[in-house]
Amino acid sequence: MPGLNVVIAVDGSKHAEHALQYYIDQLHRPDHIVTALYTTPPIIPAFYSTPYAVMTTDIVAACHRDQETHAVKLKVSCDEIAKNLQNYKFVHLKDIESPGHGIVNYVKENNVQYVVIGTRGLGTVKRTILGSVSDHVLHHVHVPVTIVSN
Amino acid sequence: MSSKTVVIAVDGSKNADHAFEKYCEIMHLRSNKLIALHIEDQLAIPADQALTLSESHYEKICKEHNEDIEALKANYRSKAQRYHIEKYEFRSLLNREPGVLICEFAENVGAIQIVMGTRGLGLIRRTVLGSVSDYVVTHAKTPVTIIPMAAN
Repeated sequence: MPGLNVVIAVDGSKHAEHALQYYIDQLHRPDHIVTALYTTPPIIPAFYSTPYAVMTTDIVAACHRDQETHAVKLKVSCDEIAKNLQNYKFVHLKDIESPGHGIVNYVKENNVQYVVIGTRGLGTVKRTILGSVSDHVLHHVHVPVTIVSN
Repeated sequence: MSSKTVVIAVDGSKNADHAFEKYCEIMHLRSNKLIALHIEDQLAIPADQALTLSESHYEKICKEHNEDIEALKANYRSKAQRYHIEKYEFRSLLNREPGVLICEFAENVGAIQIVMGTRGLGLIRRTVLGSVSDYVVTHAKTPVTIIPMAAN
């Protein structure tokens, strides 16, 4: 049976964790090949500089390490949630300025046929119902998208 | 394994047809119970005839309306059969606010997801949600799956 590529977008938020768990409990099918997809932005020294402090290479290196630490932590928790899946992997895309664009491009480039995403993630304005990344993905991929609310 | 209920909103459009097929193809689990939910619009009575409508004419409109629903029901039933959906139901409900009804219905039956099509614009890359799909995505407590028309 040919497999179907499925992407669950994660970002470290509880909403994303819930979306992954919900997919596994309610939506998963044995022929789904699952990818938990995580994107991180580029670390641009100039962007983080202020008039009072310029980012030194030490700080840049620290930011990279920080990013890596978070990614590893997230991978560990996703791997744990997905431990009973046959076909599963965690993918960390780096230097992605816009998570929405990053996810949409990954979907196009990897023949992904189904996307699962939460209604919102980290650092979103609480009064919007659908977060900006979820909204972007929903409107720009040409495959089925499941939006998992809490 | 306990049965999980999936509600799919249908309206007889090509978008709904496609959503139905796509759900069956890539998401349906044999243990799922699929409910095709059709929200009836009000009867289409031409405004200039509303006051002078004869009983027989009204009956004719009702009959055509019911025939349309029966045809729609048969269409989706044959799709369900083609995909060997064992637990399948078709429900047609009358309501003015389809978005509200879909959300409430899904909650009442404890659905694990609501499946809907979009109002795809064909050549335009960006999929455009119809007003009902948009309402359901933003208001449903139940997870919603939007299935666009195929782009390529």
